Amino acid sequence: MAMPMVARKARWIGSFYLFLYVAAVLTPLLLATALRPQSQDGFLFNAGQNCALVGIAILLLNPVLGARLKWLERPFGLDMVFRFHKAVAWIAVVLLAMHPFLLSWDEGIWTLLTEADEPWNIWLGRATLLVVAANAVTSGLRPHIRLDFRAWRSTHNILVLTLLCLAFVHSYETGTDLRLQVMRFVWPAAFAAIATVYIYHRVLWSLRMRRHRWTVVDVRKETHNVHTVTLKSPRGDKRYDYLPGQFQFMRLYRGRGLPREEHHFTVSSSPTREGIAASTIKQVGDFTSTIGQTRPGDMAEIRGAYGRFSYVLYPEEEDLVFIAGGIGITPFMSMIRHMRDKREERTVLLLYANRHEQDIVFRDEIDGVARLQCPCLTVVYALSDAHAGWTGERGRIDRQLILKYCLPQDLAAKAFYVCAPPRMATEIVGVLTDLGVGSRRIHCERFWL
Amino acid sequence: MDARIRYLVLTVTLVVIVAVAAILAAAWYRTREVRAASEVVHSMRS
Repeated sequence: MAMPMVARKARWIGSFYLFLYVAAVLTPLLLATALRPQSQDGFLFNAGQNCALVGIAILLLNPVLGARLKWLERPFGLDMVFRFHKAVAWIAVVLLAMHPFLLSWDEGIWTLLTEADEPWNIWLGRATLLVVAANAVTSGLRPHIRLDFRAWRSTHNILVLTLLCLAFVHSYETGTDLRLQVMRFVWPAAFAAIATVYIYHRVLWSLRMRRHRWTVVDVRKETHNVHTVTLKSPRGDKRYDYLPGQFQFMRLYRGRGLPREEHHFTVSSSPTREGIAASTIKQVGDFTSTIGQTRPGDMAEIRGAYGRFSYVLYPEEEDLVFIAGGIGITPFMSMIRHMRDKREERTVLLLYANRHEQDIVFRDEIDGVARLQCPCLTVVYALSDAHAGWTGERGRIDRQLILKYCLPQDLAAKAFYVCAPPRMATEIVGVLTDLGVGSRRIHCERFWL
Repeated sequence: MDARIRYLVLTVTLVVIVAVAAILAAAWYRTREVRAASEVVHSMRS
C-alpha cells in the first residue's frame, strides 16, 4: 500500500505548493517590473500589460494542474486540483479580457478594439481572446448545453494548445516587457517547460501505459446493473500502490467493437490483495452499459491511484460514520475490506441508501463483516422505495435518520465520510454542518466538475 | 461545507487578492516617476 500522506502533513505540503504556484504566476510580472522599473506609459496601460502577464502565466500553468500528476494531487485530492484548475482559469479569463480595455482606456482611443487596419501581431492578440472566450463558453456552459464529455475534452485540448501558441507569439512580438533580454529567455523557456509536461502527459505516458497493460481476470455480476471487474497487474510490473477508498482511471481494450474510452472508477478491492485491483461499476451511461460484456482475458490500462477519500489518511479518527448512496458504496467497501484484513478496531457505522432492495451492492459481504465485528461495524440500510415486507429504514438519509443512529452528544467525536450522488452528498454535508460537525470531520469526494 | 471545499475557496480568494494586488502595485511602482514629474509641473503652474 502507498505511504499515506496524513492530513497534517498534507496541509503543510499543500501550503508549500500554493506558495510555489503564486510565486510562479507572479514571477514574469515581478521580473519585468524589476528589470524595467520605470515606464513612460500611464498607470492603466501598465496595469493592462500586467493583467496579460499574470493571465498568461495562469493559463500556462493550467496544463500542469490538469496533468494528473500524483505528487501534485496527493495533498489535495485530484477533484480539488481540477476545481482549482477551473477557478484560476476564470481569473485568467477576466484578466485577459481586461488587458485590451485597460490599454485602450489609458490611451483614450479604442482603435485597438475597433480598427481593422492593425498589424498582424494585434490580430493575433484578438484571435487569442476569441479562443479564450470559446474555451470559457464551452467549459463554463458544458452542463447547460449538454456537450458530451469526450467531445468537450477533445475541444478543450485543441483550444488550449491553440491559445497558448497564439498567446506566446502575440506576447513575444508585442509586449514591451518581453523585449528585455532576460525575458527574451525566460518567456520561451516557460512555454517550453509547459510543453514538455504536456507532451509527457499526453504522449509519453500513454506509450508507457501501453507496455504495462493489466489483464481482466474476473467479471462478476453484483446486482442487476452493477458489475465488478477484477484486474491483475502485468507480470514483472512493480506493485500497484493505492489506498483503500482511492480511484483510478481505466481504459479497457476489449475488441468486439466495444468502446475503449478512459473513465475513472473507485477501486473497490483492498490493497491487501497485492497485484489485484477491482472496480465495481454501475451501468449508467453509454460506456458503462457495456461493462457486463467485459470478459476475462481482456486488457486494461490503469492510471492512479488518486484521491484523499481514505480513512488511513486520518489515523486520529476512531469513530467513523460512512454514508453511502447507491454505487457510492464502492470506496467504503474497499475501506471495510482493508479494515477487516488489517484487523482494525475502529468503530464504523454504515448508513447505506438505495431505492430498491435489489439495488443493494455487496450486501452479503457487508453483513458478514458486521457479524465478525472486526472492525466494529453496524450497518443500516435505507430504501426510498421499499416493499411492504422491508424491515430496514425507509426513506432517504436525512437529519432525522442521522440523529437516530448518532446521538447529538457523540457527533463531535465522530468523523463522517460521504460518497453519494451529487445532490444527496450536498444535502448530507449541509445537514452535518447544521448539526455542528466540524468541517475537518466531514470527508466528501466531489467528482462532478 | 466540508474542509477541502473551504480551503479551496480560501485559496482561490487568496490567489485573486495576491494577483490583483501585484498587478496594481507593479503598475503604480512603474508610473511613480511619471507621476512625480507631473506633480512637479502641476506645482510649478500653480
